[in-house]
Amino acid sequence: MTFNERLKVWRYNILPFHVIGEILTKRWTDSAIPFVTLIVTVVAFGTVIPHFFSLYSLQESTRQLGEFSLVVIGESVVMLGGGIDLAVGAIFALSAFAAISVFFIFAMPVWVAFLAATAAGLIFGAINGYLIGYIRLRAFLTTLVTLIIGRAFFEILIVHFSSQAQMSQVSSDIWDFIGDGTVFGFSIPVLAAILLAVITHITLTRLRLGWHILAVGGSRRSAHNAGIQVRRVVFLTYVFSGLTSGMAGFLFATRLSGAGIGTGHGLEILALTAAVVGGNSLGGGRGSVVKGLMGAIIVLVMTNGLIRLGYGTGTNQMVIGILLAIAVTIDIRWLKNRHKVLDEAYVVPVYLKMGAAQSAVPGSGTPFEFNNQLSKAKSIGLKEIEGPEDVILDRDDHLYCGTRHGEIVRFFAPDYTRSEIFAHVGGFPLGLAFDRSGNLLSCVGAMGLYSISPDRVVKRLTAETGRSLTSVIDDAILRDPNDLDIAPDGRIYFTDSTKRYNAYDWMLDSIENRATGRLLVYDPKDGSTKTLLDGYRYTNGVCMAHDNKSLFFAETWACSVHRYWLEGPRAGTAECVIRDMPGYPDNINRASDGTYWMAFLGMRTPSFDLSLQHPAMRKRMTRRLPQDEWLFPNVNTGGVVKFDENYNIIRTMSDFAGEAHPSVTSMREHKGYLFVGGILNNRVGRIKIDGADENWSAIDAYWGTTS
Amino acid sequence: MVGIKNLNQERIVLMISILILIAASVGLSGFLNSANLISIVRSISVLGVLALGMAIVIIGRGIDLSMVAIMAMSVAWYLNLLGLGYSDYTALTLVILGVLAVGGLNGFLVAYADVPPIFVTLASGLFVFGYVRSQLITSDAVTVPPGHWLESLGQFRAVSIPADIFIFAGLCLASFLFLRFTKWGRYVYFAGDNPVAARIAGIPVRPMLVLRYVLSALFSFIAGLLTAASLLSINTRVVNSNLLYDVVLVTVIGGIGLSGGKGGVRNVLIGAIMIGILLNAMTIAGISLLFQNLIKAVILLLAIIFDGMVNPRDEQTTQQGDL
Amino acid sequence: MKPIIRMDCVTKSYKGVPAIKNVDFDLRRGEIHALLGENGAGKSTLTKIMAGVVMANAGKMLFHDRQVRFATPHEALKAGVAMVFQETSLVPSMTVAQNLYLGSEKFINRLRGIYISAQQFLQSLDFSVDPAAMVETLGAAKQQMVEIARAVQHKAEVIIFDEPTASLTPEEKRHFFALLRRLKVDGVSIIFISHAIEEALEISDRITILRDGELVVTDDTSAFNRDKIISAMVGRTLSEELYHHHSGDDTRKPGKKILSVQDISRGSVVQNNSFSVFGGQITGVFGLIGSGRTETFRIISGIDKRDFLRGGAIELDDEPVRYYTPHEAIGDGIVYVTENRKTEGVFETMTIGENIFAGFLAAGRKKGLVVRVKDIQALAKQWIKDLNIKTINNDARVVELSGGNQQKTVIAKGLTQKPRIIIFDEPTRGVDVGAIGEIHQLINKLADEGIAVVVISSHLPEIMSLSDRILVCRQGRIVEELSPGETTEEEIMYAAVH
Repeated sequence: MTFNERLKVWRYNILPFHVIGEILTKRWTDSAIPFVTLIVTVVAFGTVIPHFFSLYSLQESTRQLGEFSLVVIGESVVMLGGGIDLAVGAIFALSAFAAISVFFIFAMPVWVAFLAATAAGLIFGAINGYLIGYIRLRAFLTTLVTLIIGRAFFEILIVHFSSQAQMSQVSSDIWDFIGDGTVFGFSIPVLAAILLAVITHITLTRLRLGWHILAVGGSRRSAHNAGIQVRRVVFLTYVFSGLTSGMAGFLFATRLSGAGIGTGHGLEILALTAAVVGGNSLGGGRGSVVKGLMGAIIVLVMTNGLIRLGYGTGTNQMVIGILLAIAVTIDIRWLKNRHKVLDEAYVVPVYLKMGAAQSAVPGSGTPFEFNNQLSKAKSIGLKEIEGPEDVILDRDDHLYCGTRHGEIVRFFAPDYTRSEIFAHVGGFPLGLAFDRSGNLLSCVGAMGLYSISPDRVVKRLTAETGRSLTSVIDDAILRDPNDLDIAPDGRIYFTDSTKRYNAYDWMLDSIENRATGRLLVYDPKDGSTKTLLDGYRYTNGVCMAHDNKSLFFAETWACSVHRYWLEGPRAGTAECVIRDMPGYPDNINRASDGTYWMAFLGMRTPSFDLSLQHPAMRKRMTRRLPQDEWLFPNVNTGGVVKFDENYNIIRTMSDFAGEAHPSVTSMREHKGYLFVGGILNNRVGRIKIDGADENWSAIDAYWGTTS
Repeated sequence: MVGIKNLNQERIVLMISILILIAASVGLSGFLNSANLISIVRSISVLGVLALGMAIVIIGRGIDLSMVAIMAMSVAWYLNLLGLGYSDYTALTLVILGVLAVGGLNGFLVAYADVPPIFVTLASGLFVFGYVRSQLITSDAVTVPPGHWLESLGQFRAVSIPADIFIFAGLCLASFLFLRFTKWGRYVYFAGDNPVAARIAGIPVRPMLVLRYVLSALFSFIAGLLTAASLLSINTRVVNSNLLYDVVLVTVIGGIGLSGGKGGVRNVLIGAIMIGILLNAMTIAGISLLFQNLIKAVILLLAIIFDGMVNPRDEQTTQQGDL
Repeated sequence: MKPIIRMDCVTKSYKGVPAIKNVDFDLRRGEIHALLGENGAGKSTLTKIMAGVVMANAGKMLFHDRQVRFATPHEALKAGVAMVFQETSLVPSMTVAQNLYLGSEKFINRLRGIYISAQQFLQSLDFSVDPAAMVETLGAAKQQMVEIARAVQHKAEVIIFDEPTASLTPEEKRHFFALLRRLKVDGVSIIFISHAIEEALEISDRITILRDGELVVTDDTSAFNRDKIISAMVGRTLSEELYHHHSGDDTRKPGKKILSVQDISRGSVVQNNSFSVFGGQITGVFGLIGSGRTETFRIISGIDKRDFLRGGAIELDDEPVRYYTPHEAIGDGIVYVTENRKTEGVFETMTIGENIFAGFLAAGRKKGLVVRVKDIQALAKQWIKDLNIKTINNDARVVELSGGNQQKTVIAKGLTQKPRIIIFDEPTRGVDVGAIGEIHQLINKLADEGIAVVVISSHLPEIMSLSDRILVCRQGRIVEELSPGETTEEEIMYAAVH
């Protein structure tokens, strides 16, 4: 390898640039800007302020953070539901007052004080919820007015009762513990906030109620039409916000053992700021609890940090104003352009230097030499079917093939002129195989592994495998199941060609050329699916070897065939047995004479082989040219080859004129004939093979004549 | 006679105002005389000027939460500059430039950076207060220097009507004329009703947005001058009071929808008059300030509840994101 | 055969204006029933009553021979009546999978589980939509597919499709029709509302035609042909002149080259697009939805921006121009009449006059500083007369007008700006048959006056009858230029797909 090649391998194959695109597909990346802001804020203040990270200092500052986070969680939920709650400050203050009056003035136990505080929050929240949810008033105006009412009420109360509360001699250990104590180094408010955040997060993302809130926030009318009780959901968001503010008020009361005229003043602005800085949208429907929490930390660290640095309220507010404006501006830009970045970053082609192949040009004298044999094939179902990727014949000689429209079509023996839709599966039925009891199994592109019983019942066998720990994208989902074969013990071996693209984007996968194809096994006994091999360039056809102890599978973009051993000393390992072929191999099937048929989807071209050594050029191509003009593997000339147990190519059949079968994706030998299918073709071809066993049928030969 | 179905928020608020007016005239002696009526209008002139600026922004589908901060801090800085010995001309120029800059920045961020206005103006309000309070002035309250023109403005009377009423009335008229009869004023409605359609129709939506925030900043400054003229000082703590909420309330309660495109100066007047009458009646009735706030808010709540009952909103027709 | 739904003498009026009057309707088990009629004929209202979206004022509805009255869409759905709405009813901020199961989700949902089952389900209907994608990122066609899939997923006995094919490509339409046939075999009854008469004839078993809120006729599809349907819809026989065929020699000759576009690009939607537009003729632009036809012309009229780097060049009268806002483009006489009338065409709560005035004002054609109400009224009066806008009075608000009259208002708004190039994007979408002819006449008149007219449409007969020159758009580029006298609909469609 030259230095230049090494450099290219290092640059394009080793450095994991493709991970950037994969990360960007994750929903949580829309929190990236708030997260960075959070880190910057904490680090900045942590370095400037001495003892910022000391345990005691953290415990004290997080106590207030816990209370504030509770309020912000509530506010976030209301905003997600498409509303806004400006009354949180008033609720907070009233609840704090409720706790203090119950505990200090009426000298009741702590739990009663807690109940009183949360009840106050719930009631206030319920009033807001009733007005906005059921009477359907405008949220902004309504909570603005209830805020003023609540604050006026609170001020009247505090003026009349604060001195009584201050004079009280009541004390309680529990009260003090909640206000001062820690559990495993965490203060009570922090624990409460974490607990509530986890519960709320799970509710919003997984539970029915959370979905309903998001739906209502995203589009009221759609939610209503989907049968969601919009009014009740809106009501509940405000009740929840009341509850969290009430709890925060209680914690505040235990911490300070008192409340004053300024309690909770301006809290609504801070909470709103936190929720928005975290990235929750004001229109509703977009956001999360985590975003709210990040916003809460940013806002509180900034305010408290500036105070501890000795700046007055003036500077404090000025700095917050600037930082918040910047953070939100960047966040909005980011959200707007994220998908553009994703589009730009997802396709990351790799470098590959293909080995030199034997020529397939007619007259070149190689085993691959092209001929015109396939053009003599008799057409079946011409123009009636589209895209028969695989063909198979049953015991009664009927012919089955999948189509682009998600159907499996059956042509009736003996002349194959009549046909019917045998079953509708959907997706794109690719590889086909019969199992011992005559069920037709199919790898359905974009769906999974399916079984169709003789009485046409379609059943899903598997659509997922185990998730690998190192993969960023969820590779448990089968994106492009391609071909299968069944071992005598009933286990189904099948390929999933790519992890990074859906079945319909196979062209992008070929251009990227990244090795993400897999070989998997499905065990019908326990219904489990396991990944056997990973990291091939588009795994494709699968075929049990005649010895029943190993199987062949094709690696399309690498133009190789591999053999995988199921038993014996090499069980579980694979070996590349044919490499550097001049064509892209597709399905492989057994032949009557103990050899194997293999389809060539297309033939390699010097131009595409060369482009594989120029990843940057391929990247530019996908970005700047319309799809029509992309350079991708040639699928205009293919054919069928036959190889024996010594991996020698012993026969080639092709359609050099390109009239009937330019590209071939599968072939089956059946009773002296070869049936040929092509994913881009509009027919199935049938051609007599000279010298073949006229009584040999693949299904009988493999499973035995009696079922 | 309007049927109950024809009642909209504007009419409900107007009716409530009239009811209170009648009740107060009958029940409270000393309510219905010219001196008191003048004091009612005077009490709402500052609020009204702020509400006018807010109305222009809200009709154009925005909101300006930085108004109170701009109002207090611009005038505080102005008075402080005077106190430092700057000439009136220099000081006024500097302050107006500052006000224009803040308004322009608000508008720029909303129009060109697509940041939600509620957030831009919240941040700029914080910034303005913080910057002026920490960098430019030294105490919470700044007084008007003796003999300054603001002092004479505060004392000016024509037919025993103080100057701030004239200024408020003048601004009402100017805003009315602007919104109704000028090209730019019409643009406000088009942009508020459907910003996308306005843009495609060729209306320069973004520059007009900036203009609205600049206007609201200027209105804030005028409101600040009026405050300083009548109180002879400006207290920057007003930024942290409920004044901002009152401004939003006055603007919205009279029937200007937060979703934009609807309403006008008349609605602001109705809202302001209602608040003015209510506060004045309660003051005369001897209700303490604490309870006044409570009663005022409860009446407002009843008004919007009543509106909600008469004009229910429907899941099928509600605009998304209409808060 | 027993009907599954029977409507008896159903009447519904909005604020005193009747939308449907005394309609009797029945739907049989396992049939595909097409519901045809002009805009405002009451098709949507009738079906919305069945689906519980609105409630009838009078009359009764029998479902399985029991009288029912659905108060919400959810009640109807529970009973087995699902509706696919014309304006999509999905939550844009949620994923496809979440939308698919919304309203029928379990108490706790496993995310990967629902993605996989949504993927399987969508694919089993041959809809290739990524279940993890947010609905707002999807195009109109994919949203429509999700919507259809949701109705099927509820296993309803009756499914109502309101204009389901409007945004689908031919391939998708084929999958959709196959789905309808499979549903029919499973005994599902289908109501199919459509504008496209050919589709109704192709897929339905029976056809019902409504006009002005009244039922005109219900009969087996075999009893209808195209002309019969049209005359029943319109109430008079409309000659074929609506979509006449060019004969080649009546096409206008190109005038001066006004606009030329070289290699403009915008992301993956518009790529290296080049073409020219000439004065005094109509340039028809055909392309499937998503082919970049709309986006190309939005760039030209300054609404969208081209790519910052390598974005191409636009020349107006051989002078290079680059617009950042529509304001500048309109100043140069390039006017775009939008395809989304509701969201970006009209100011709904304003009057016809104010709407038209918006264009007048924005083009800087208003002299003097003062805006007088009189000016606005005069403008309204003039255009109402010129374009034959049907309205109760000149001060009517746009929201109260029918689709065709709203469209005329939008066109008037553009015409007051004295365009040199006017771009009509889907000028007759959602416009009643009567108004289509008028709008076509108007478009022809504009071209005769020497204005460069561009008509973007996905309706082939419209393109064929209006254009003097046809450009076909695919994958973000103009791929073919055809002459209407020499080409066929098949040829155009082939160019747009392959």
